[in-house]
Amino acid sequence: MKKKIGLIGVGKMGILHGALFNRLPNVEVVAMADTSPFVVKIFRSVLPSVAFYSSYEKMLEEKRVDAVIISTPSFSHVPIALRAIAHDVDVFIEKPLSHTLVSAKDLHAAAKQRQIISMVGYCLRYIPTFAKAREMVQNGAIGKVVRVEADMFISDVLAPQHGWRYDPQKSGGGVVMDFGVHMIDLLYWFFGRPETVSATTKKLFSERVEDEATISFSFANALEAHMQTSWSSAEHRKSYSKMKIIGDAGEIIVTDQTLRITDAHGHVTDDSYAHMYRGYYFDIGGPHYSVQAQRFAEAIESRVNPEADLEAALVVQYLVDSIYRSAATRASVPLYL
Amino acid sequence: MITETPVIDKIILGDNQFWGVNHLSQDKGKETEKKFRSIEEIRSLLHTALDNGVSGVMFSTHPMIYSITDMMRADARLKESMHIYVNVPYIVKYVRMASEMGMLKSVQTVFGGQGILGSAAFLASSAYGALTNDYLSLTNRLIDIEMNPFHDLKVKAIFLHNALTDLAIGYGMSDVLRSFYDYVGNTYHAIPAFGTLNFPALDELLAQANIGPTVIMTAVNKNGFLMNPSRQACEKSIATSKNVVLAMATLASGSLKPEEAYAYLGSLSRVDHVVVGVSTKEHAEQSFSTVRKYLV
Repeated sequence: MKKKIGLIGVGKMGILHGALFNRLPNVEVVAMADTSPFVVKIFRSVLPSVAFYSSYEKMLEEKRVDAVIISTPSFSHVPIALRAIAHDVDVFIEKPLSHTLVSAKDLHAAAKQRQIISMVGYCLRYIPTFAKAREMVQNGAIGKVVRVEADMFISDVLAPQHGWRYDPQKSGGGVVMDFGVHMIDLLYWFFGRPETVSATTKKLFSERVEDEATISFSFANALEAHMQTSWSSAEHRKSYSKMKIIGDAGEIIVTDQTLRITDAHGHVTDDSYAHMYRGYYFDIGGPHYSVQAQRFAEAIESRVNPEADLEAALVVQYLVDSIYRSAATRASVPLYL
Repeated sequence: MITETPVIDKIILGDNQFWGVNHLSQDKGKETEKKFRSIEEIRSLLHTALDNGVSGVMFSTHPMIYSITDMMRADARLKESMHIYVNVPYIVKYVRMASEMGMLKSVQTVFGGQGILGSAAFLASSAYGALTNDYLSLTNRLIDIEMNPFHDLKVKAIFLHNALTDLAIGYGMSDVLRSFYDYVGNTYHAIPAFGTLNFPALDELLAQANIGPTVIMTAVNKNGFLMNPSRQACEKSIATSKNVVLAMATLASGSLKPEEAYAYLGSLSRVDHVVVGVSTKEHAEQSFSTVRKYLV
């Protein structure tokens, strides 16, 4: 029996996820919900086999779905996920998990109690270059890691913008919460939990949320990670993410496109995304979305949570919260979980 | 309905270098963009292509496309002799729009003009009523908007962008592909064609829906880059396809040398058409001759 998926939030990401899930052999998208009657009408006309709802509550009550994809604005992630969990429905939630730490904690607790499968859309983990770099670090290819420099840039905000993303009540923050959070998740996935966080943030175009941030994470065993993020970087037309990982026996420079490892003797080995690409069951917006969909589909079958579950996403949420507290107090903040 | 196999140029000049797109490295892309900023250089490159017997060029509907098509319309040789292949829509623009304003406002902006009053008037008009039953007519209007820059030029084929084709495959929406195919064929008298990164799935869906034979632009390279679900599966499907295959990403984003890349294409009996990206006159002449060596 194929697992039945409901899509909540028929926007850019929801449509992409739905198509990728639909191509997997063991799942099918059977229902979609969106609050916009216009969007519902459009998609209903081209997808006659899918049940459409203007309310996700109604969808959860009427349609027996096994899992939902929640790709709505982030302030609604938790209420929707809580309702799904109450129906014992597994949840895939777009990043960031939520706009507040408090709501993220509530959701984490509820999911644990009901033993549902969860996954959060921190998809950089599945970009082949980053996945390979992590494997190399874990295998000790560059020895003990002592310092990391990370960048995450895009040119999305080059003038004042409108919409929920720029309203801190709804978004919970600016570039750190919406975009840099991908790199924060990568750093956590690579190196575990930092002990302290210090950060400064800057507004360039937005009035109420930050457009740039400089962040330092201090880990146990003297590892330091420094991260810069901006969504107002004019020269980066596309999303750009880079980590320079310095070990005591070499270094790795990895971006979403390239991977360079330099060993202790200065010998350089280059690899690239194009070279690592090996064919995926289906590719629409990049193989990382495909692999992510596969992992979630496997998890709802095997009943074992994927790595990027609510537990991991909650740590990331703590880190984001610590970054904002540090920026507000101009002080280093210990990470209490 | 078209039943005979469509005929297209063997070598088609790609336009990524015009806009600074490079899949391997943004930095490399930026360098190329600088090199290609001037319209005069693009004109000269198009003439070099014609001098070398290459009379096809692929365009996306980049915001700057008018500067190129205006130049081509004013140049008698390019206007008469260059066959244009258009890839619609310019996906980056709409993805960005959807992120910034959401789906509803994006649709209103695209179809109702930029002004708020214009959108309101559009939604209030009968178009909104028609929409509830016939969303596909709306996508036809999007094609019209995207095709505006190419008036009075020789448009040979119009490709549905691979991201949209692949989304349609994902949901099994063959009606959407059929609508595109019919509208482009009937309205523009151009070959309605499709881009995809998932060749076997598209080929199968088109066959099931009885669409074509048409032209499919898809990645074909020795590395299997962007070939899904695998290089082997794509090769197998290409070998038995009724459609004409237009190979793209043949250098696997610069990770293959032209010689080995085109030798591989030459080894596939059903791959005779290729999109070639070139950045300079010398590079163009060299690339065309290497392609010809293997794809005759």
